[in-house]
Amino acid sequence: MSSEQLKGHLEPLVLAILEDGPAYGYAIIDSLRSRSDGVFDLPEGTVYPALHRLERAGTVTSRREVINGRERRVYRLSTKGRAALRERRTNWTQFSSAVSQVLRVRPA
Amino acid sequence: MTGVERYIADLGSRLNVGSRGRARILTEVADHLDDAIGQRVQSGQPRDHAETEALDAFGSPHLIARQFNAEAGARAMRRAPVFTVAAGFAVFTGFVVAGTTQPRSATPTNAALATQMAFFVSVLAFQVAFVAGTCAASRALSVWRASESRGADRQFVRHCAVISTGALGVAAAGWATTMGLAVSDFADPNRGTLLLGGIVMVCSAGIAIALTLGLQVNPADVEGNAPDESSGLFGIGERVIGCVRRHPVGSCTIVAALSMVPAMSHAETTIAGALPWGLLQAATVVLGFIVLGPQLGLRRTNRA
Repeated sequence: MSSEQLKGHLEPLVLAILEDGPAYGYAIIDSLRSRSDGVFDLPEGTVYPALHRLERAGTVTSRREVINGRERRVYRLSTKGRAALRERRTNWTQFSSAVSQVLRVRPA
Repeated sequence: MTGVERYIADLGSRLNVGSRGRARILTEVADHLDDAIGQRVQSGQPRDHAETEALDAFGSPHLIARQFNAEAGARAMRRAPVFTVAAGFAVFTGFVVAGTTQPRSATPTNAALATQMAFFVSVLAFQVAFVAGTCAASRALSVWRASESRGADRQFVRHCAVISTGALGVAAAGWATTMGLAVSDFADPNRGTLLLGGIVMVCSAGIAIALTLGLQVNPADVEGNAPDESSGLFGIGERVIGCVRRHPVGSCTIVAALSMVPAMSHAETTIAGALPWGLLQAATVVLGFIVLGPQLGLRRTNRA
């Protein structure tokens, strides 16, 4: 799936990954790929602008930490981010359920 | 120079985000590529191959830089109306501070032609600044909460903000000149306040012009950026301009009528004296925006 198709959905997906715990950029992209069974195989670099946007919006925080002996910028979900994720989940459930109902194949 | 170093240098040359932001981005990208290559080497790939694959997977420097630039441009766009509003407020305050302390003569006399001209130009410039500032704020607010903004919107806001602060500069300089011409007597006890007002006006407008010109809104769009039409309350400025462009005569009449109200409030002004002033002022403002509208990229509303 291209980054174009993920437009508008990348940020909540990143929030969902950070819900499991703090992570640095490479690990977030790795989780995104593995949790989607390889479907979300977008250019890895496109996740960083999204992370920066989320940080500016206050939904994630970040700081440099030592991971496995190497210094990396680690991102964490903030309280505001948890609330934003809850809201996006609710909206998505309603939206996807409505789309599924409309797209459902009717018996001939 | 390794492939990663070349990539980082290429990305760095394309980023237009400020020195701190650039350093942070490049460090993060270098860290990421280091991890990506390390993992591939651990799984048995030769280093050269791992590096090429990691760089391909990361995306082209052009694509990544555009996304960061668009984000930085959106932040710059949000600052533009803040500068114009703050400068407008400072110039107006400076004018009020200086103007209210000027002694009023018991027997009003007509000011010198140079003073009248400077004042007239200042008032017009302030009106241009107000409308252009409103357009900038209107468009910026309409996309304020959107996670992404169109390059055309960012460019439009910057254009309006530059025109607004430039016009504020003209207004400030004109009013400062008016005050300078009015205070020919250096023994005037209010000269300190007049001086202060003039300095506040000119300095605040000058700072705002410099800040606005320095804004990098990076108008190049990220591919596939969805158009986000200005709508609701915050699109009202553009609707007003669209209306002025469709009905220039009617708009001119309304502005002329509104212009005469303050003119008529002075006891010494008659209808005959106020009418040409109001008409000239209204015609100049309306004509200015009919001419400037397309340059600013003002869109007509659907009914246009």
